[in-house]
Amino acid sequence: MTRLLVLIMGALATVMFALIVLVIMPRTMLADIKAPEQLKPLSALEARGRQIYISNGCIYCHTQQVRDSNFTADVSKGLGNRPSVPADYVNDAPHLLGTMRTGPDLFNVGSRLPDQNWQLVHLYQPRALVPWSIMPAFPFLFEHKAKAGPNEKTLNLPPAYAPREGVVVVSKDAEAIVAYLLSLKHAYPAPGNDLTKEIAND
Amino acid sequence: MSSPLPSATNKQGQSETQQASTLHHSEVRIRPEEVRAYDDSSRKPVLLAFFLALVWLLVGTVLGDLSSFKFDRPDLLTEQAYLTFGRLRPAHLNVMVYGWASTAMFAVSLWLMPRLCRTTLRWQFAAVSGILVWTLGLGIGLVLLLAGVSDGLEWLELDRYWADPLLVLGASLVGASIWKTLGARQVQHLYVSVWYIAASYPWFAIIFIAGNLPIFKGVESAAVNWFYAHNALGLWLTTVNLGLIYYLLPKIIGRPIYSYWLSLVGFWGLALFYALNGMHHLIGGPLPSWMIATSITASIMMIIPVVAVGINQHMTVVGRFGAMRYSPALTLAVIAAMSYTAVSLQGILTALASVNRITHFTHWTIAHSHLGLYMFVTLSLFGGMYYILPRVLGREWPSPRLIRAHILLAGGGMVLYVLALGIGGVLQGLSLMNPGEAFEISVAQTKPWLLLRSVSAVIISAGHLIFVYHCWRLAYSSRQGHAQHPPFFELKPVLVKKGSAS
Amino acid sequence: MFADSIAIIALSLIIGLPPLIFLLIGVRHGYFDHVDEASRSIFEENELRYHRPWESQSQMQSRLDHHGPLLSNPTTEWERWL
Repeated sequence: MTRLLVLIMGALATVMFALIVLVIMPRTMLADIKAPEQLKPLSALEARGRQIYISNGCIYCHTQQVRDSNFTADVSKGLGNRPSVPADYVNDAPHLLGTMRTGPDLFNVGSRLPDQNWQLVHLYQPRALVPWSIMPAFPFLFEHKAKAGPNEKTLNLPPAYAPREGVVVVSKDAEAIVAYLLSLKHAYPAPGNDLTKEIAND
Repeated sequence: MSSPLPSATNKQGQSETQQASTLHHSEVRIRPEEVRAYDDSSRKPVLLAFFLALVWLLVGTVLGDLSSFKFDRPDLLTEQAYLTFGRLRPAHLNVMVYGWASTAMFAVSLWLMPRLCRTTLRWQFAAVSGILVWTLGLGIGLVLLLAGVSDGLEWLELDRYWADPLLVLGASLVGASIWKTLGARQVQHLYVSVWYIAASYPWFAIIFIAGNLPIFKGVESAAVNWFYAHNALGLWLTTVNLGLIYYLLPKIIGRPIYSYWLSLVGFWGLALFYALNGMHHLIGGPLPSWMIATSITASIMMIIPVVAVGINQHMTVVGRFGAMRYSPALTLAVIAAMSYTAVSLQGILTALASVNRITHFTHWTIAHSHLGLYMFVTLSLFGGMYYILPRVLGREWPSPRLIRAHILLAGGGMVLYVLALGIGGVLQGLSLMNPGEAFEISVAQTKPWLLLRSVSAVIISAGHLIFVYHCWRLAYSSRQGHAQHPPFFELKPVLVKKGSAS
Repeated sequence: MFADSIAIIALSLIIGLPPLIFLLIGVRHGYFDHVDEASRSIFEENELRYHRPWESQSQMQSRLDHHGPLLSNPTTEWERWL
């Protein structure tokens, strides 16, 4: 029996140790972080857009983080004016940091590409605006109609990509995800309660 | 024992001692009928799990192929939401990890445990229902994922309210059967595979539940995400497959494992260091730097268990690589064992900040994960199936030619895959690092390598089709019972036609 | 800092001590004295006495020295070691 106890208790001890170090301790330490004043909570439309961003898997090609400028070129490539810090993400559940830059980083896309119409057309057909893009098109976020209804927004497409008849109408989902993208602006200075520095000074 | 004997009878005494110890060993050893009884006791869940695993393998292959083709033709199949890249890719990952690999690992562990514990499988019903519940959970999760319901965390996309509880329940039922069998064991010593397999089930339950708790926000959410995703590989996929390899290598070669002590070092080193590795997926990111430093340190420490396992497995096979010509199971197990060493060393390298600054966020990561999940995990499971299925079904594989084709296509295709994405990833990373280069260049530089990846995906898919067809022929071939002169019999090498036994 | 708190120290001891104690008990009971026996426990009887075509003469000799003389392989031998 002792053999089995060594195995089960030892196995549990190692994984619990890792849980404490990487999950429980950080949770307690990061609990003190407050949202910076300039970081606005998402509106209902933007929150819905965030959900669209998740359900269509944008994270598999886009990151939302600016890495430490000491050893990466993220800041010098214009992804942001400073590296991102934990306080920038306090409202995020789940996190959307991402692990791939098949497409560019979106942490500050709202400042970089603030034109709503550009974003909508780019979603409908990225290659209408960026010929070399390999981003998938999202035509299912739009409706193809003969005529737009009274309160519906139509899309201004270049002739090569416009449908032969009728109009392309922007759906609520498309509007929401663009609203979310445009809300991604983190130009404010890094907040003072930056834990990274605090720990380093310990 | 022989020392007090008079010198005249010393020689005789020595040979008696030797004989006695031989007898002792053969008493300890299992009789073939016994082994058959163990195999029979686990037959039902093992066959069920392998069947379901093969179904998931085909589904996952289609999903993976489509995801890959979408890089080359971004306007392919964009009209429906459920066919968009951002849903197919996580579907591919989840089907391969939870559908193919995990289900096949259930079969492997349920087949190994009775043999290693020298008793029949206990709670067989729990094992069977566990496999079914698991499959149901994954099915629900997959449909929801394609319909747009995702938890939004990589490796944890399956819905935490509808799918994940079923997965936990399923794995726990299988684990209960495993642990019950372990508790009823008839041997005093625990073989190293038992350590790996038995520990994997509680590990998986703990990390999976921790990863799915809906209480984390912001960067903690990222920390938990990568704590889980890395340990799913390290404390679940890796451990069960190392257990399988530790069984297959000595068994086929006919020689005990080189050093049992090294295997214990490997096991506990892995348990201790692997669990801390996760944050190296977030190097440079917005996490407290001590967390990332901890993970980088633990990643470098991984060199201890990796080298221990690598030396142990290499020394077991060394001098007998010729055996690979005779046994496809051994061939795949050896390639898998070498890939484990390779992928771990690559992982350690990638965790170094100087390398990571280039390779992070690039296709290098995808190449790395396929080296681990395919060249190591999947090939090891293929090897296990080549060894286990004939024993459970009591039938020989029908065609050596199909086996050759499968191994060459799957192995060769994946080598091409890893090389293509590895090179493409480094080019992409160098371009992303260069402040003077527009983003466009990083895309343009990866395009040809992504196309090559699609080519290799087609090659691998062909290998999978051949393998599934061969399994189908094995299961439904009209020849019952044991073949009198099986194709792999004795001096007839399976994998290389020419050349004699040496 | 949280890492210094009594809670963490106590928790680590609660989690870490029992396996250590069991490990010591195991060592005291000699559970780790014959580890090599465990590595041989997977073999079936006579399994190590069959002809294996890839072995060199000396490899086969040392194997047979340890496990007894060569047996003729049964026709279904592939079942054991393929």
